[in-house]
Amino acid sequence: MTQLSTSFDVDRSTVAGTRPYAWPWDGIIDCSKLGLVVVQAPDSPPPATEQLGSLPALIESARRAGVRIVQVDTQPPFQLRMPRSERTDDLVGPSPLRRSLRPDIVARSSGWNGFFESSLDSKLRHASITHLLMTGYWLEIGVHSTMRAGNDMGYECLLVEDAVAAFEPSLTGNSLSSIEMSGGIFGAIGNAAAVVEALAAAPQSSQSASVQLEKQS
Amino acid sequence: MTIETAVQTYPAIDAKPYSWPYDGKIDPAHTAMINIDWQVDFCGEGGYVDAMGYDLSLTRAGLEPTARMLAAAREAGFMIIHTREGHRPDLSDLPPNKKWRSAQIGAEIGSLGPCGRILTRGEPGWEIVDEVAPVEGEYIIDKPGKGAFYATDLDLLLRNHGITHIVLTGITTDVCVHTTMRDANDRGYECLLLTDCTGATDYGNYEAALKMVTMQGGVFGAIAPSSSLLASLGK
Repeated sequence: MTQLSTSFDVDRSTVAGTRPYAWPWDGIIDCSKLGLVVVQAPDSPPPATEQLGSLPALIESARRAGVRIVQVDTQPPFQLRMPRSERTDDLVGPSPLRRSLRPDIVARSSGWNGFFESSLDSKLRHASITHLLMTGYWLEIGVHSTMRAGNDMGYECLLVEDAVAAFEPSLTGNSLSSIEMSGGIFGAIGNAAAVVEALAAAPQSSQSASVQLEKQS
Repeated sequence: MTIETAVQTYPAIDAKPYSWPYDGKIDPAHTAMINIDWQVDFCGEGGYVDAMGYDLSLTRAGLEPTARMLAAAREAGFMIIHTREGHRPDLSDLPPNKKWRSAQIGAEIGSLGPCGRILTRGEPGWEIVDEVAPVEGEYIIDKPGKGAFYATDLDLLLRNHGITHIVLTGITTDVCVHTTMRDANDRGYECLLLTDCTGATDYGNYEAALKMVTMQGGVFGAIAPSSSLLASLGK
């Protein structure tokens, strides 16, 4: 991990307008170390495309910049799961988001926390990914549980607030506020346009296009 | 594991969004009370939360109800677990981004504050406050993160004791309590969060955290005031 003295701020490269601090903490935006995490809950009906706002555009920009696309499937704990035949994918087929994702990394969790009993951590480590852009659905369920766990493990996380959908929209404000407390207790919050701009300005990853990772979790 | 001795069980309680527990009765032999981070650093003067300038009355509000609940849970024979967030004195278990963020807001983990080194194991600020302090025979989990399952032996202790049900108290509601409840729920534990035995640095975030538990028919378990559980235990 890079040791960075805060007195050398002139060389910091960060995403504009993030809160409560200029993300990332180390001032290094390196597309080869970034993962765009798209959390989904494929057992439940997906949000309308409009609810995910800038996510499709963010995915395309990230892919062009060499940022790895990380599909994380979360689901209710084992004892609460619907029979397989009732899963949304089986009833209506994959959502437009899912069909267009073309992920570099796929992990399926056994709960709402994408790191729980999944291959997510080992695949991120193998890919040398240390910084995560958090997106997808649902904000206050799978996205939050996954961001909390990633943060505890040392991943530097940015929640992209216009690329997430809340299950209960009235809880969006507090879901974001919790992240911002205590100087960014789970990381920081930013918007997709600022991320796209920062990615365009960052040195591009040369290896990512050729990295082939096992796509089964 | 089977417990052969005749152990008294207690009726399910009024809770949201369903009567807790789902399986109809409270069995102390399979129930743990987990008290999250009632440390000076989070609810005492001169601790970490105080140093960041938050209102201590919000995180202290749950102390008295928790002390009452703790006495009843001990008497009923629940497994009692306390957690503490803190880092090794050499800070080797402190992620660099966590250290950096705490420094940005003037409360750097490991630096010297009024209660000793902030969030550092062995320091006065890291101790559990007297009102809900552990007694002989209770378990203490020292954790480096927000979640009590990450990088600890909590899950192993619960399994070895045959625990299937968890009652949660502690601070702060939306951070360490929620992370731990979410991860317990993922592991299949049937969880109850006591609404008056927890608090957050922001009241709106406390309320939202409680509401989140009750979405989708109890996405992370259930919530109830401690009076409901005390009534079931005959208190």
